[in-house]
Amino acid sequence: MTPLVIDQIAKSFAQTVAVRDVSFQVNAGEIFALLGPNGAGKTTTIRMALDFFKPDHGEIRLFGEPPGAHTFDRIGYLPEERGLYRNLNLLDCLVYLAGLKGLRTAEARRRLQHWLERFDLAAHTGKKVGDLSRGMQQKAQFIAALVHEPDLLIVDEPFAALDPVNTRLIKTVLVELAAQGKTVIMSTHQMHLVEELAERMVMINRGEVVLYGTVADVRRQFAANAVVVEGRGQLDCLPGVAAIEPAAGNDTLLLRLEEYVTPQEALRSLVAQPAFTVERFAVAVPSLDDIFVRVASGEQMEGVA
Amino acid sequence: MRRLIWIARHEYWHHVRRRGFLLATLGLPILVIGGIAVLILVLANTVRSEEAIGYIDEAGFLVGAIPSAEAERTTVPLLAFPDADAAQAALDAETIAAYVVLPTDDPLLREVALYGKETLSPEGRRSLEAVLNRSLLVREDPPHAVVDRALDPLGALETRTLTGEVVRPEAQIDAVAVAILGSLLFALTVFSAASYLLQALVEEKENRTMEIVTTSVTPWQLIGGKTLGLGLIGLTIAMAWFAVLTLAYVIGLTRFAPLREVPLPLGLLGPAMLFLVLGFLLFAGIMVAISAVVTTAQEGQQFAGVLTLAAVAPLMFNWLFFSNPDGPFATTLSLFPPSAPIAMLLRLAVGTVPVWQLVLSVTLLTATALLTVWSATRLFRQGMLRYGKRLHLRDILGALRAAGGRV
Repeated sequence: MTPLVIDQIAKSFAQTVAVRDVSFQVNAGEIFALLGPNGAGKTTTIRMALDFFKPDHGEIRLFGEPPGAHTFDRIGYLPEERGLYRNLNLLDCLVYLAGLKGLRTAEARRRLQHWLERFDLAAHTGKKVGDLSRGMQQKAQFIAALVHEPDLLIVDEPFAALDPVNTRLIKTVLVELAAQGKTVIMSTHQMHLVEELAERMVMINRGEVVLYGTVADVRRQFAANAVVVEGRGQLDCLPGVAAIEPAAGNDTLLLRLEEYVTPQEALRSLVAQPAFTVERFAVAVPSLDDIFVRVASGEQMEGVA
Repeated sequence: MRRLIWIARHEYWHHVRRRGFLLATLGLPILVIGGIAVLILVLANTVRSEEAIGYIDEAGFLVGAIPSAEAERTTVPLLAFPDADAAQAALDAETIAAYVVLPTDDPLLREVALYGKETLSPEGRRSLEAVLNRSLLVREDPPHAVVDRALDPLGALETRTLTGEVVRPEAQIDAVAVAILGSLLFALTVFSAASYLLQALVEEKENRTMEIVTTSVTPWQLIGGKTLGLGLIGLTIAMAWFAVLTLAYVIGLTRFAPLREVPLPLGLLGPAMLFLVLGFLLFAGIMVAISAVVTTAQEGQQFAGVLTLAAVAPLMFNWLFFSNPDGPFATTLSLFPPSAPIAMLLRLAVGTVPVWQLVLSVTLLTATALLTVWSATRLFRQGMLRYGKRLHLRDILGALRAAGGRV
């Protein structure tokens, strides 16, 4: 059963169009990235998927059915707007939230013990939530989202306020969940983490889908006709190469190719150079960060989405 | 249902365990009752009637004017002394609390001197005045019946309601006191619980837990659980007051005789519970609706304050209820749902209410309470996720029209 299918949904609030036309599908067991600039319509899309709002048009299927109370226990949600009961102590707060997801107290405590230890929060269970650091509260809320072992975990900016150690911990947990067949939808502005974790992605801008597919495909679609080369020796002018530019990293060069030249032909020319030894050769693809900025600033890819 | 109970249990224990709640719930009634008891004791000691008052009447003006033995039981006894030395000796021996010396040459008794106290208690003064009045009257030798009537012309005054029923004024005053006390307790219970509900919901909106909660339970489960849990808080407050009042009443009976005359309106308990539940349901719905519309707890309290005024209007205009419990003002407020619980309790405490009015009031209150709760749950989902934004009339109407409250 496909965890989430969104089909041509649209949503307006008064005169403001929040979502114009959004369609995508999230498959079981994958980490799926939901991207877009601020105000693009990501949170509204998530909230419609979670049944906070009904779309004005289009259809949403959550585990094959319209969203509703029957899917509550199969979903874990870490919202962008963080919040916990600041006056409760940490354990009571998490036990209460687990109870809302249908977990019995004893079972909730057993599972929480595991997660609190793993997230290095076991020593803080008696403290009031309001007295914990922002990072600790973030981890606590992450635990609240997954303690009931949901089939679909939706996390909005899961790495915000976390140091590198805890970022790595959350990344590991997300990968583990996907390996167990759970589905993760991740909304973040940290593009390097999307490249690292997500298999597929959708990018929404001004309420519409502007990029959709596997992360690798999207990057390839935005690739210029260029290659990245590392090697030793002197590189002379090559046939079919319009320009040679230094690229990021030591001894790395970016070779911009003429339109009629393919990367394979460029590689053959390079290998034929007697004074240059090729140590690394790759088709130059832009980072997701570059693509995000280009798309958000209005550049469109033909045939995408 | 299990989650509704879970939420109710959480809300109840979360509030009950707080030190502030314990202090307010148990401490306040004890403090209030204790304060009243101290006040009564102080007043009772300050204005205590004299055991007896002596008098020196050398001219014999008071002969034939001293009240009978039966009358003496309800007044301060007057003891005759032949001279000032004898009276002073009795004063020293505390047989009398004071004594008066009557003039010997003025039959109109215009100059009476008091010794032993600066002033007489109201009871002592009344006793002395009665004797002096009688002594002046009997000298003209009118029939005894005329003397008695002249001394107490309103003794046979009969108080009747506008419908002609005879009422006992003392009982009426006691009933008014019980009605006001009961209504205040009622208002305290309902508004404390409703206020806790408003606070709990707006806090969840403010601390951003609402998004997690609304992906876990339905609005009915959330609102139902909170209403039940905080309703039980209200009941706990009422029980604490009831227990302290009962204890104070039982102790007071042994110390303060007039308490025995206070009618306990036990027959009111049934209607009071019915109006308590319905009243709380109505105000719970109103508080949920307010919490969905406003952005901060402070703003919510301001809205709630205005509506609370409508509910306590009967207490603010209580004299209109006691002077004419079946008048148009009292009747209208006892049918108007927000003010009905307190207005109807006041009317029931001081008189009888026609059955049709009782039935109509309960029906209107029930219908309004259910409509309010229904509307509130529809507003709730939309309003709860509008962080920092107030709902406008168009949003409210849209939410009410939309299926399931989701827009």
